[in-house]
Amino acid sequence: MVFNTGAALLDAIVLAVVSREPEGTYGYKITQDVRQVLEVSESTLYPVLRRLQKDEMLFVYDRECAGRNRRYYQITPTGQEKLREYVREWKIYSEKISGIFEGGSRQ
Amino acid sequence: MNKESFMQELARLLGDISPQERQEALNFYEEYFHDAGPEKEQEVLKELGSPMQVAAKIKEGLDVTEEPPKKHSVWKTIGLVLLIICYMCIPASACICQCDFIPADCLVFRADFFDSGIRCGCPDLCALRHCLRGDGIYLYVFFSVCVPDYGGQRTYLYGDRHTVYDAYGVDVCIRPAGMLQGHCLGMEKNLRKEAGMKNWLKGERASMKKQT
Repeated sequence: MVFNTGAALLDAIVLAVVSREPEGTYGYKITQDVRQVLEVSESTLYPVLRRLQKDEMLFVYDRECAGRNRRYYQITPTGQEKLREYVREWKIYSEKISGIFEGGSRQ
Repeated sequence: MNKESFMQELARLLGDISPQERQEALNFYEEYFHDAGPEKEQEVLKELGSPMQVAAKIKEGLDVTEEPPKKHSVWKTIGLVLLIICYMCIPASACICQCDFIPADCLVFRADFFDSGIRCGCPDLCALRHCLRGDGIYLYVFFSVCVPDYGGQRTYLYGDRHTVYDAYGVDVCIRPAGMLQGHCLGMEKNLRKEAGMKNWLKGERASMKKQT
């Protein structure tokens, strides 16, 4: 991808990915899902998840899975609120940019 | 480099951060390798980069000003008072119990999400946080949350020592692997039997003494 991804966009994508799973989802899967749309290094996701967890956007719990514990991440109501805000902002932002790209006569 | 040497090197490089943060990060990558599967080990190693790069990213994400919770030796007395206050704060469906692995140093709080109809990140836990955190005194608590499983089975969700600390600002105790579920079920039974919280707690303590 030729465009840079800022921290806010990465946060928004992670929140969106996690929110798709009502039961929560785990680190490896989140990373794979995010990497389908963004070229981020595998090592980028852990600090993001940790921060979102500290900011109470994500709730974590461990669930036993095949004899071991796997950590699940689930979106909190605060996280959902933040995600809605990101989605609103993204809509405005992307529409403006598309407007310029597709003729520049929108305003 | 293989997974083992990667993990060892990462652990060494994270030697200067708090033990909780270190463990949290190591667990994440340990699980990550596991979920990727042995056949993808080399691919994951390549993608992650050197342990040094990974450690640098982990440290970058840490808030250096963060202070670990203070431990108070007087907590036992104050703890009991807070406990009773908490009992009034939390819904009737929640129970409080004592862990038997850190004697008298740790309490287990169990909010029953099933009965309260609230899912993770719920106000129950926020209420607990609110009433547990007073004047820098932290109780050693452990949250385990019982929810109905999606397949009709009950699943126990729980936060460990520092995930709960991070999420709810409450210091928690450390759980030995595998003990929680049985313990939790036992407590549920106990709770039904006991008329009051005080009696129940007394009984738990006595049985703990017997066991040890």
